[in-house]
Amino acid sequence: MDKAILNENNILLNLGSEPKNQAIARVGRLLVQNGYVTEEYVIGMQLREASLTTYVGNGISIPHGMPEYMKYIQRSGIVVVQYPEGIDFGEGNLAYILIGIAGKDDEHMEILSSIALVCQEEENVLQLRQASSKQAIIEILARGEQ
Amino acid sequence: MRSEKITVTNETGLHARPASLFVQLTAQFKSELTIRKDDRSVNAKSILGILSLGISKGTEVTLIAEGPDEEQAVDELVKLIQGNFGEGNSN
Repeated sequence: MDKAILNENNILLNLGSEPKNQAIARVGRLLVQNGYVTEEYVIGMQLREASLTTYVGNGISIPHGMPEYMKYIQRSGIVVVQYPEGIDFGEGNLAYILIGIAGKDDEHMEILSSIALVCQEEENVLQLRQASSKQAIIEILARGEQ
Repeated sequence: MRSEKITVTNETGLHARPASLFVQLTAQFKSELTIRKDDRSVNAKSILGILSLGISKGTEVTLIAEGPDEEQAVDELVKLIQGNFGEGNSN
């Protein structure tokens, strides 16, 4: 994956569990800090989660903004936050990896499908959960590039 | 087995909310459900599978159902796609 989209500054490892909305806020803050989105986008991320969960199965959640908040994306990027104990996404679902997505225009779909391709394989998800280096996370997510 | 080709016409394509609605519907059927784009097929009951296909507006997909409620499953999925997932049509 392009370094501009995902690099070591976009990854947080081994965080303690916290409530879902705080975890999403953390993912959002990282997107803001690294210059991908403005603050407004984070509101769109919380709204998206409240209206329809971004938990997609296999212990993965992919927080992103509602379509009308896409205009607050400055450039495409993703951030990855690893929670070894998981974040409670309701209905018995725990997300161990949160992948925040800011995809500008058509890049949204490309990024999303490439992440989904990787996270469909439980083996890849297990490796993401157990990764102890940021470089490992980058390498695993790069497996989805077509 | 029942299969049907259909073009996705809603603005956002088959991801985010439409993908969730799609999977909520497929989960209600007993039949094995597959969705195919070009030469890749995935389990239509898996949101990650569907997202991995990257189905945008204007993409043609094939729905394939096999099982006791295959007719109803394909009919209802076609209806959901043709109805643009309730997004309304911008045309």
